[in-house]
Amino acid sequence: MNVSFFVTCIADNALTNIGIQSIELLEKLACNVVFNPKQTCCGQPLANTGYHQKAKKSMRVLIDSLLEDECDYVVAPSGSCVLQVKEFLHFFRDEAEWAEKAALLAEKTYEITDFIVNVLKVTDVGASLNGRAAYHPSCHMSRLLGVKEPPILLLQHVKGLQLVPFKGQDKCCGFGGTFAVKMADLSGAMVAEKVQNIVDAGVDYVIGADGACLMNIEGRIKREGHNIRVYHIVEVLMMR
Amino acid sequence: MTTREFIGTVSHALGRSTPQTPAPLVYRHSVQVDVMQEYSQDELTTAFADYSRIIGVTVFMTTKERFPTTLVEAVKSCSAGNIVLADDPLLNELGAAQALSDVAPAQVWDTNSTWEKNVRLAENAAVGIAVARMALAESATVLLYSHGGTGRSVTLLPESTIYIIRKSMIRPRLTQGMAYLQDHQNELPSSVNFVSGPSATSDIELVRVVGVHGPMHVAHIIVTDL
Amino acid sequence: MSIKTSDLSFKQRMRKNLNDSFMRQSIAAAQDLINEKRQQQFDELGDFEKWRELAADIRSHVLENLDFYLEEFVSNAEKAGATVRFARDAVEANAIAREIFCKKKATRAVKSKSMVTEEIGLNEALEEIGVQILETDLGEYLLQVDDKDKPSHIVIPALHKDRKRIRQVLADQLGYDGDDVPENMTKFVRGILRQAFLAADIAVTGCNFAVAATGTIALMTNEGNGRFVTTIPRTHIVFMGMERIVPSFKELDIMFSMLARSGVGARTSVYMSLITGPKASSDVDGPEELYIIIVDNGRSAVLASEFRDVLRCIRCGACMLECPAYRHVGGHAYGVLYPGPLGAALVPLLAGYKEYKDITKICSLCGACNDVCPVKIPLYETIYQHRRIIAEREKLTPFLEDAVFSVYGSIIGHSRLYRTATSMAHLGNMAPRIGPLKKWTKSREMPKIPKKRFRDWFADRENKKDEK
Repeated sequence: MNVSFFVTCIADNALTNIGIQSIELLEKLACNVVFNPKQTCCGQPLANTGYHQKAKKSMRVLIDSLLEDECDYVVAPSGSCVLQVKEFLHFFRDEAEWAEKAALLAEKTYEITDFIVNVLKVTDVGASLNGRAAYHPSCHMSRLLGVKEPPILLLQHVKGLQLVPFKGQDKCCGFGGTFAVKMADLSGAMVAEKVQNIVDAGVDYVIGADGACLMNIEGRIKREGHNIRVYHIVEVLMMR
Repeated sequence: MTTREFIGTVSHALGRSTPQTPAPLVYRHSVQVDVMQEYSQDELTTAFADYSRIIGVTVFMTTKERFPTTLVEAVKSCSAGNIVLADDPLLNELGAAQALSDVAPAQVWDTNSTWEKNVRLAENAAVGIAVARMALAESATVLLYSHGGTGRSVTLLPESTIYIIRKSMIRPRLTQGMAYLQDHQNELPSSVNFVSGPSATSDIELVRVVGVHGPMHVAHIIVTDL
Repeated sequence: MSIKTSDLSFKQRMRKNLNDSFMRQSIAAAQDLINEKRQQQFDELGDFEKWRELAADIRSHVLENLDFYLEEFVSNAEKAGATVRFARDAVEANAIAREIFCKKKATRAVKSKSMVTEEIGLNEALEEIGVQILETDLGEYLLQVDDKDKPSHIVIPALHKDRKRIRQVLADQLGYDGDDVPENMTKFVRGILRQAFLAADIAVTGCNFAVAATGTIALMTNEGNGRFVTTIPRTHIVFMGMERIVPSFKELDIMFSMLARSGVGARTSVYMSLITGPKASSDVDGPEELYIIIVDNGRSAVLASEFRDVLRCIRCGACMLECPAYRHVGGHAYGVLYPGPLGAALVPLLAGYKEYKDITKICSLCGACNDVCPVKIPLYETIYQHRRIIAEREKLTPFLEDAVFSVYGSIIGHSRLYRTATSMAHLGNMAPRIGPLKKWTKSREMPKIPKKRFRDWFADRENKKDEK
């Protein structure tokens, strides 16, 4: 099975281990993974702030780069970026050619846990990690993209890992893209509460499936100096 | 602004020049009808009584024959003082006024008398007594027509209200209450109330406090052979 | 009051409320409590999705046929003996109210909580002509006597006040000398308001729903003030937002079932009063005259716009109780009558993007509001679209922001530029913490940008494979 990997800008440039572990994981599950280096960013920070026109250039670049290798699937380690890719067609309503390409891309693009569980039909990847973990279901991924079960199923099969529910689990961590800097104090208050709830749950790890939220949560955890490790789910799934 | 001008603006906003008869509203689901559908009359009565208690209503079950005794008992559970009764044929039939003659001064809302006298009567009463048209099990709600002999004040101004409920008129939920109104919409009185327990508020620190403007205490007397 | 409720700037409002720890605790506690109750109620009822599909269908159907149903409602209300008047905007609505008060030589009015009268600034308009208008909803009354403080939630207006503050207000303004137990303070207010009810010339109410088939006004209250004002005063004036219609009692069932549960997490409100015309000649009490003032105030423009769905709103407040941003800044931060996601969606439409663009920023686009809205308003999508209109159509974003995003758009819009720019991103680790970095690092650490990007790792690996 040929998979074109959409790394997302955060995993490309900042949280690079997410990209690396995603590749290893997909290859371990017998996928033939290609990475097209022409890809940039899905343009979500622009679009969410209202600058749809400015975002369209990057959407075209991304559409072409992800379709170029004609893979069966496009897979990304972020529900939020996948959501954005699936929304592309709305931006090209008046451009038939691009709308068609966007629709094709939307159809074959999957968030990585959704891909593993629902396309590869795998729930146990043979991972193990001892300890208690809080899972943060990112809003775009769980609510808007609708991928709720797959990450949980995968984590339930990680040997030694205990998933601990916590207060306000499904609440936004306060990231929200440019929201985190445009409304920095409010965003800070939101992530502070999220981290407090995680700390109160007495866990060893926070696990999520969206790098942006994890960067936010980890940033706060480090600021407060808690001994809680933050992992993207692909990192956990590659632990033995 | 005239009706025509106003409606015209709305039509214009909807992209037409005049209102058009709508296509029928299709209900995709029937969830509202399904609630408590399989309940027998006894089960509905139990559900109504149980939820009444949960929302702080005192519940009495009685028969036509035992009604006078039960009514006295119910009145004694309320604030002490004068009583105002709705002028309702059922209360006459059950002998309500006579039953109360020894308990407290009881007077009947008098449609032949003035606004002042009647409102004063209700204002000075500690207990108001009225008959419910229907009762709804899901929310312990009574359907009350406030008109004619059942003045609006009867069930509002006194600190306590006693509602008389026919067991045979206990229905699952608001759906049936609304269907009743729809079936009788040509003789709708100017004031109809659905009432579920005592007046309440949670406006101070979300602490529930009973008795703000309306009654602080409500009793339901369910007459099982009516 | 009017739609605007604060003279402070957006920044000032945000800072003030984020620093108000009591308010934040109250809002958080209220959210947790009511959201749990709401969840319980809907779990118990079952089929939430089906219920809200029905409710959404009903609201959409009404909006699509609003001209027809308004005409039907007016005709039936008039048949029942009501006098129906129309107001294009706040000025017209207030003028009609003043005209009635003057005609009746009325000076004392009691009001049952109504959002539309707040929207048009009725209290001020009546006070200007010497009418004393008392709020009778306990929460609204407590705000009114506290030097006209503003509501922070549409269903629980005094959510931001604690019992100590309330006791102080009652003592200072009304000579209350009791303790701060809610029961006792409520009883005290009950006594005062009862006298006001009995002395009032005119009752003013809003309208939760209006039944087209019968010309009936439906009022929901828990305290009984909705019943009180429609029992004692001889004249009753109803202010009704023009979109409040339901076709018949059958639809009122669905709407009411959703409103009570969504609003405060209860199976029902204590009272639903259905008012059809003034009292009959055979009735003793009840108003002799009933006026219904139907208010547009920007609604027909929303109806004509791509945002018609926002008018489905039944003012339950569930979206604000679910909103994680509202949780931390409260209703006052929005500076408008309708706070929370509903406010961010509705207010720019009713009152303009120019003045109200900022409230669309109080949203992390998490979509939680969409999940709880009992009439399925696409709140998330609406706020998202507002931001586009603000940036692109109205061009109301700051010049610098626009410029920065242009540069950013160019970088990510060109593969080679992007590659070059990101190869230097790690230099940002040493950058001074100013601008966005400063804002981010105020509450949290920055991740360290590695020198080797993912794409470098991948390319290295491919090269190694080739070498083998």
